[in-house]
Amino acid sequence: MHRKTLMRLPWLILAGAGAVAGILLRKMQLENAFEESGLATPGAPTSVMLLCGLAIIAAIFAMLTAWQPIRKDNRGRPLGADRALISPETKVFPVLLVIAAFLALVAAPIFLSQGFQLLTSAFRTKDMGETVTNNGLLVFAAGIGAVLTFIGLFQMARECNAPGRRGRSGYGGVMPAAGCCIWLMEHFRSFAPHPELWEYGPQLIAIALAMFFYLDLASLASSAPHPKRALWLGAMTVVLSALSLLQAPNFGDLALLCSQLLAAIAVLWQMPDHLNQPLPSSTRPAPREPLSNPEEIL
Amino acid sequence: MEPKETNPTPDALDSPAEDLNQTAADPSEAEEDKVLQDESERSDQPLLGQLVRRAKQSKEDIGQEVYQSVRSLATIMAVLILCFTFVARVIMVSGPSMENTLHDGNVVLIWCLAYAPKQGDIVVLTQQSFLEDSIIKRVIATGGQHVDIDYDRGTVSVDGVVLEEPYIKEAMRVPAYGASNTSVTVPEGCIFVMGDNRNNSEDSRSQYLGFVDSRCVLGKAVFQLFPFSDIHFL
Repeated sequence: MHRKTLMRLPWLILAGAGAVAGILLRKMQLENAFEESGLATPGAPTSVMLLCGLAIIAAIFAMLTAWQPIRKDNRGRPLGADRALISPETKVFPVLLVIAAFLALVAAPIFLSQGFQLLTSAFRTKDMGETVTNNGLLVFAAGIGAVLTFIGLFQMARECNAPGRRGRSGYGGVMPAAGCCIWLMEHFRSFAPHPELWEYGPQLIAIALAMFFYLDLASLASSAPHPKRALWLGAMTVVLSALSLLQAPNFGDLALLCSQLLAAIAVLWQMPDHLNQPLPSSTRPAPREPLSNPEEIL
Repeated sequence: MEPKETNPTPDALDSPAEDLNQTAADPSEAEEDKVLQDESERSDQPLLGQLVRRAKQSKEDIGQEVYQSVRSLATIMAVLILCFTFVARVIMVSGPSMENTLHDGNVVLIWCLAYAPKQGDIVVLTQQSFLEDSIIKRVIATGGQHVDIDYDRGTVSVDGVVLEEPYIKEAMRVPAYGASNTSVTVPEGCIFVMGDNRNNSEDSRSQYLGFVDSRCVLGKAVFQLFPFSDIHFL
């Protein structure tokens, strides 16, 4: 088997298996560990199994991360985004990222319209002299965050056609991270009146993992890249996002969960073998021509 | 300093358990530096090469600054939210039912982690069938205890012992919703709660709330954060 395929297979297989295991355990828990009132049965075996299963999956990914070989540059740093992510040869990575980007864009109008509805009803409630519990501003902001996620992921996909820009493409990860941050606040706020932990906890953790995952992708463009941590976070994002799909509160959340799931799969497809192998010489940038007229720059 | 060029041996690549600490050539960056150096040497204005290099560096610095700022903010937000979810949270009191202990608009810190309701604690509850938002009351009795309310004397007894209640706002009268639940035994796993403003509180005496499942308890109010002039432990 080709050496490149060997590097990515363990990640993809284990992430897929972890996602399936997570979904099955969560499904069992939803069927057996809750009463009719919606309250969780304390110490239910299926809840314990789910927690133990997630801990085992996290440990397996940690071992895989420790095993993952990475090549460092002449300064002793792991490879930057242009080496670890970008490759004009593969089409799978940018295609998955584009699909993830458009899934995030699909979520945007849903959050924006929901936020607008809440805002108008909040004004009406306030006019009647009653207390407003949720003015919808965070929901509105989550819609804007979804647009930021779309822009960031799309930009990262576009960078695959512009190799050689040393490290800069990773900064595209900052925008999805900001979008996830706003979504995290909105998700927490939406469950604040009735915070049943098992209802909103898994998705909360999935969003937090995705946010740190995007930040670590952005770190590939910085002077302190963390590619191994990005791989672990990406794999855990796949697992937690998959099991959160079972109880997504609305279609907007569903679309954003699918978006981060696909983005993480795309990185697990691309990064493991590229961390170990440099790009072919044909993709390196040609040396720039000397400046003929220095005054043009000024 | 010239970059080291080492070609990794096939053995190193075939043994993936070892971390490859081998340096790889980074010709793109070395070539770019060489081009800049050649430019500044060739041009009549050597300062220009430095300016170009500085402009390039400042662009990268701005990107780095933006990344670091977003990273810091996002990390703080995530830590706060995870802390509020699993450990403690801050809520605003709404309504007069806990006067004079807590007033409308007061902000209190709620401790959630590993909390089991005890008699006398001020707790925050979520009761989906009752109100849209969470409510704050005082625990009068826990599972298995017997509660007797005497409106004539204005006293509350738990397991035959009359409670000393210096925190209530005024002497208790029969509430507007009726005098039900005056002599009850609290089921296991439930609690009996009442507001400190006994004559303006819809609590476990009301048939609409009744006994509250312990799992509906968000946590115990431990500290009043606002107003700043009245910060104190509860």
